[in-house]
Amino acid sequence: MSLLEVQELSAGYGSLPVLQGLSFKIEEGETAVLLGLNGAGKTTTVLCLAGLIKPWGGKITFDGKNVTGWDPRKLVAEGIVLVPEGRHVFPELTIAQNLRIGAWPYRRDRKHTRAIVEQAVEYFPRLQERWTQLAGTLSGGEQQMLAIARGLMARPKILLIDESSLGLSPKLTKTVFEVVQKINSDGTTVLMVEQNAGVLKIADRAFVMEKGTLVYEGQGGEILDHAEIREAYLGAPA
Amino acid sequence: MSTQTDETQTISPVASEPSRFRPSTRGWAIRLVVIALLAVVTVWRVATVQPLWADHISLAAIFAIIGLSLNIVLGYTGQVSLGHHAFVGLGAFIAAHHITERAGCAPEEGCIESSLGTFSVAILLAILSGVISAGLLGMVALRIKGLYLALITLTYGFVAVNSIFEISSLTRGGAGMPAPRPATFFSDHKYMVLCLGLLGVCMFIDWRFLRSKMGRAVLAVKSSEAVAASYAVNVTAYKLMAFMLSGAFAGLAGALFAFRRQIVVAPDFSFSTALLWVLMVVVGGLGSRLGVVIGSMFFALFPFLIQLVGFLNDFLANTLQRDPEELTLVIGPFLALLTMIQFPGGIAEQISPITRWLGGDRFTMHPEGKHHKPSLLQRRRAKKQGLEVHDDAELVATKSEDLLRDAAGEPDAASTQTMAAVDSSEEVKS
Amino acid sequence: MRTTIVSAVLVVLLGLGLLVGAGVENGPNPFITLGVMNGAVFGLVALGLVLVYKGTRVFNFAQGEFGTIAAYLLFLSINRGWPYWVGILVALAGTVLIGLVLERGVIRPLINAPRINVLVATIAAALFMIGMEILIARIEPRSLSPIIAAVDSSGNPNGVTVFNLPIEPQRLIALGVLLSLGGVLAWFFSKTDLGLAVLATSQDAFATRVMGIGIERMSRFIWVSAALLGAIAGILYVPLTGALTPAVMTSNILIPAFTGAVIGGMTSLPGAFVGGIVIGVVQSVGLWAGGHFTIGEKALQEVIPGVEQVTILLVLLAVLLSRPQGLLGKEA
Repeated sequence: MSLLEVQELSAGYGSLPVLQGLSFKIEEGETAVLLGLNGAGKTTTVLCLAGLIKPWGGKITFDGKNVTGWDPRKLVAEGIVLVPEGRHVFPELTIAQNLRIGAWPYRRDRKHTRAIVEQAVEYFPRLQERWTQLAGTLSGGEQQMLAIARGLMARPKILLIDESSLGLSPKLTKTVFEVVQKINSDGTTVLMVEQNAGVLKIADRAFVMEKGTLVYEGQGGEILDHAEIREAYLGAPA
Repeated sequence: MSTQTDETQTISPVASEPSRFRPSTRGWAIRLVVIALLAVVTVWRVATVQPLWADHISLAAIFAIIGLSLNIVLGYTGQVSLGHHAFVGLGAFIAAHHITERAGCAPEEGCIESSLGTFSVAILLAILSGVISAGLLGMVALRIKGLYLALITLTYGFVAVNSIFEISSLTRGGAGMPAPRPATFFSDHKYMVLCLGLLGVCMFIDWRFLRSKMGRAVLAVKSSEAVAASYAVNVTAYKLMAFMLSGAFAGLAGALFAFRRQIVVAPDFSFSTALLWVLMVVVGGLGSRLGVVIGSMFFALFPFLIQLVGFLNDFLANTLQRDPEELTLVIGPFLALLTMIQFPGGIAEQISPITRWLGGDRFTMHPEGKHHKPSLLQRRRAKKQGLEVHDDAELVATKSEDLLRDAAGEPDAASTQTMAAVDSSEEVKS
Repeated sequence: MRTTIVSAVLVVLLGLGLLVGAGVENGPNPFITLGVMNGAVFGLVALGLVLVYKGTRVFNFAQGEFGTIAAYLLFLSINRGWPYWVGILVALAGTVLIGLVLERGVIRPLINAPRINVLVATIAAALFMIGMEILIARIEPRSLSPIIAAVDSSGNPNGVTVFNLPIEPQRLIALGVLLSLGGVLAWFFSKTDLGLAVLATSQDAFATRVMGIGIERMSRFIWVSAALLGAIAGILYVPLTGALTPAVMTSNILIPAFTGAVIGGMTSLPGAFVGGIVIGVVQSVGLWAGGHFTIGEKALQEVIPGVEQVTILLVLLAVLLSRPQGLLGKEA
């Protein structure tokens, strides 16, 4: 059984449909990536999965449960955690406090939370250096690291990472991707939304979206070799 | 998708302009007849009104001028003034002071009618006092981002009540400062005509102001300060000028207030009155001239209207032993809250089918190409479907907030536009 | 750090003021002491204002009326013959209930509306409460007794005497309550999960939703706490004024409290505390100066009535002109 199964999902804003019958499956332990041009519905998909947009129709099954239309609170407790596009760290709180907010659903279990903090700092040593600095004063790359670390605090079974490479230098992007790979190999399933073709190197599975539906599905490496798709959806050659 | 907000904001919505409805010749004729009938009936009713009601209508006109004054602050600049009792009160005292102390027309010296000349000067001085005090306060409050004008005007009102209105040379203490009317407007009836006339003048000025370069700039500042500033609009200066115009209206209203009773006493201008004035503008419909005038007049006349309803008056006077004016303090805020939560367009929105029809449009709640606030029922239904509904006719729909919300990924009207724009740009790319 | 420095500077200034004041005949010292005591009440209301501002970025104009309502509830309970402490419980519970109703019925429906709408809504709520007070309790003043009587049964004053000025026990209680509540709130917002979550909600509501925190819960918490703070201020202050009338807290306390909060920076809890005390002293010294100094033949307060209110406006204007972010605030 797949960890996450999306069937015929449709959603939109006001009267404007964005997702029109989207279906895909993600197996436990893999890194999946959602590709597509601006407006294809990638962000809408992850917002739906995280419960921030209520789907119009279709079904989302997670870990054997039908979680369609659930509240974000319940979904986070269930283990679906989103690292939103644009980082959205709390600017007037320190790194330490940001991480503490991330552990909100498990605020009574301090001991385990401390262990996760240690792990997160191991992934991103930079955070340790700026431990008591306000998040608003961090660089874009550091904020992205903090956002991912904060997501980890909620003990995800699946981590949804939206456009983590946006606005980062190629070098920083590489670092972030490497850490995501490490997080994945430590046992967390990952779904990334990306426009950066570099992500395919760490992806087990790739989905390509266009106009709210799936147009291609394959292994990460396959797409890299697939010249047509690469040019149409990833812009630059990899 | 939210990353495109900046770029797509410049792309105008793709929807094509629907051809505008135009009534037939017969349609226009019917509309003209209705307008003429309304005008004739109103003029006839007002012209033959009892002196007592003439006095009430004067008050209504004064409230309407105050309403227009506050509407400039709240409806056009998106700020709020909680010290309008001070502006109005200062105007009243200055006008009265000029007549009695400087022009020497004091009742104790047997002067019961002021001359038309001193009367006009008194009104001008009152207007000036409003402009100056608004200018001084606005200079401090409007430079700062945020709603600090509310705080400063609130404190100014507090100072006015406790300090300025206690200066006995200006107010003659508890006895009050007399303000005799000139012979031309001596009867209540003539005075009512004056008040209504000046209300008309204020409405005209307000209309011209909004059509002027300054008015458009102020509205632009309200919808997005940052964008307006980037088009070289001097944000602070325009807000300040709008606030000074508001002060001018308030000063005028103060002078009219003084001559209505022909004596000015400080308790007429209390803090809770100022709050009630803010609320009457909200109930009337922010930004709508006609709505604000109707709302203000309703608030002014409410206590008198209650007395017309016999059983209600009996109940209040005998069973509850309460003054109808006390009831205004409960009903007014209640109506304002109801307006903000359920009917953000206020009275203006509710009568809009009529006004639109008279203006040569179809009789409908839903004008073409114009968003309107979804009803409670529609929202409930939408909520059941799991959608969030965005109010388009909010008191002050700050575009930048929409953008922020959009960036946060919440679905609303703005993101619908964004999505539409993104879709079209996508087609261009592929 | 900054808080410590600013507080230390203010304490030194206060000390200097008292020292200089001791050299003046009929000097300001009793007024300064009284100012600190009044400032405690301003500080309490300012704490509530800052709490709501931190959480929702809105000036809460209903903050004062929470106190008046609480005072009326206490008055009614005592009038029924219930013990004082029961009256206090009734007042706190009743005001919290009003806070809940206000949050659910007015604030929550406007959660996505522009801030100015919420601000106007709090004005409407305040006026509605005032209207209800007038309608139910009438305008005539009532007298509310303090927790501990100012004079004991044999006619000797309770409490302490500073600079020949007897300080009622009620004022000491107010100061103590302010100090402890200030401490509790500062701890709450820096050390507890709930406190941090409230701060987080005010900084990025979307991100708090993403983290699985219900923002409705935060909003409810903020308004209940604000109502509670307002109620405590009302119960402590009204017995000191001698007269319980409708809108008493809004007309006497709200404006100095706002000024205090602005001095403190609107977002800073220690700032609200310090600002409240500062404004209490400024107002009191203004009152003293009005009686002490003369212009020509007349006393200052005859030329400018209400000198103490004018000083508040001047301080507010000066702070907003020179340091809009306040003494302790990070932003305006």
